[in-house]
Amino acid sequence: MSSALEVIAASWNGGTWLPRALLASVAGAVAAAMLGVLLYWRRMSLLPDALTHAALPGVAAGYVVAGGPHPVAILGGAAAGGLGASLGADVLRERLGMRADAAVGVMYALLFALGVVLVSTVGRRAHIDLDCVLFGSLLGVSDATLALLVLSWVAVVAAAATLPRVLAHATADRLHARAVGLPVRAIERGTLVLTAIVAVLALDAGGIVFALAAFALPAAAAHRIARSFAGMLAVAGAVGGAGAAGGVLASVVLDVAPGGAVATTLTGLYGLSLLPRWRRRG
Amino acid sequence: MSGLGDVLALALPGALTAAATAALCGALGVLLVLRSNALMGDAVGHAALPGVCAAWLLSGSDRAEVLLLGALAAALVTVGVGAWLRTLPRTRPDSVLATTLAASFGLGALLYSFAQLRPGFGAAGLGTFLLGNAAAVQWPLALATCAVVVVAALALVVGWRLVATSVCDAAWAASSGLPVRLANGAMDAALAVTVVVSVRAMGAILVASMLVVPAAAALLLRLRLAPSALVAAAIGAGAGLIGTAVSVRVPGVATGPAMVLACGVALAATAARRLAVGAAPRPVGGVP
Repeated sequence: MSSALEVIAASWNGGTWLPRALLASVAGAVAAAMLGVLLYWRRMSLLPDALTHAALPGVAAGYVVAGGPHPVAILGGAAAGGLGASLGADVLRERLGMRADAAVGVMYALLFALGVVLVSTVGRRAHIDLDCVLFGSLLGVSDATLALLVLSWVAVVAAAATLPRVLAHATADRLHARAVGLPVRAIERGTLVLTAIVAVLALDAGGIVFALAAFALPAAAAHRIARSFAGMLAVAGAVGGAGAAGGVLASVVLDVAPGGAVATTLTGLYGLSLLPRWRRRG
Repeated sequence: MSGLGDVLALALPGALTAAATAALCGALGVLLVLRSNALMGDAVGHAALPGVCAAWLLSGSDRAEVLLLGALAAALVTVGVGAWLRTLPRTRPDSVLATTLAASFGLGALLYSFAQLRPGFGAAGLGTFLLGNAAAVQWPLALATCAVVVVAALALVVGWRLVATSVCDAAWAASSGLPVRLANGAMDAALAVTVVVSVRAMGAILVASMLVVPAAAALLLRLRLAPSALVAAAIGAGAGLIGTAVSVRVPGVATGPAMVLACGVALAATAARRLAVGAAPRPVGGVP
């Protein structure tokens, strides 16, 4: 245990991988947590789940085409996968009358299975490891992914800090927001695009586990604790950041997969939000 | 090169397990999709992973029965926690699914990486619980699995009217005095059992897909409820056989993904038929 703490101390002083991993996980988790609040109010909490699973074949294809973890190829492939899933789900729903949740479930089941097959056959040659896709490799995050994560972090936090009332209106009561002239459509599209970008970046940095947990758990905890929309954004961001930092440090100390450690730390924080003390306040 | 039959004869216990569990998944999936709960299987399926890993870490045994008992406990806990969370104020049903999924999958990832550090990890074959490997199933497990599937199928047949009524019109069923909560609880328990018996052949991550895709394919045919469940079971069973054969013959392809992709072919077929028939779209299974 003490040797692991020495490793942390040494890397703060000399090495760079731990600060990079911390920055990537905190940036990704805070951005995902705040976007998760917007998705929560729109009853779309499962969207990141669908997006990350559907992106897998695109990510694998991007790896193979670029011959390695090239962020542009990965983002492009993931965008193609996500687009394919949403188009397919639209066809299933509108032309074939399938229920919305079943349509989404079918598309991401099929694309995920295709992705697993791609990763375990042609992906072998491009050195993708399925464990890595599922459970993440936060400690080896690439420069471009790190930069994009920080950029989305800044964008999401800036939007939440400057426009909390607009976001609250547009998310909680879109009819009223449209009636008073707010750009609801633009806000909704912006949320979806940012969600897709952050989900794929989080998938690349921390694996599917990290992405799912960072979107779902802080928002759910925030609704239990916070008393206002702006408060919910703040609590979700704080929970996401604390869980990500704590999880990465725990993963280094215990020598386990960071994605799983972050998700479990976030689960613990969500568990705290279920304590009855919050319920009396609510 | 040998044909499909020879390959299946070689991997007969695995093929039987895959076909039987996939058939059960298909039939149960129809009920889940109609209950607008298609993604419930996702949460419960991922919950099998921490159960399997915890059972291996605690017992040190790599016997399939022990690992599957761990999976059963974890799946039941997830179903129970999900039901409890839904009763709390300030929670949302979709968020409950997303949080239980993320929590159980995250815990599973953590325990899985703990397990990787232990000696004997490779021999335990926990990796086959992730994506499934029907070829590794031996006769005793195959027979036990088939027995569970037969019992579950009998329970489904006996309780069919109650389950069908509470799935299709819960409000009417409740107002006419039917035990809807009992039916829902029984379906949740059946879901947990189904996930557990399926996990060896399909893998914890792909069980969820087998609960959605065959059911969606069958429901596109717009049959009555019981025939829909039978068609979904048949699609699942066929996909189980094809998936096992593919995973035995093609190196690197696990059974679970191969089965799901085979179901995708069935879905494409029923979707093409639906488009060719060209009836006016209406929500599958009546009023949404």
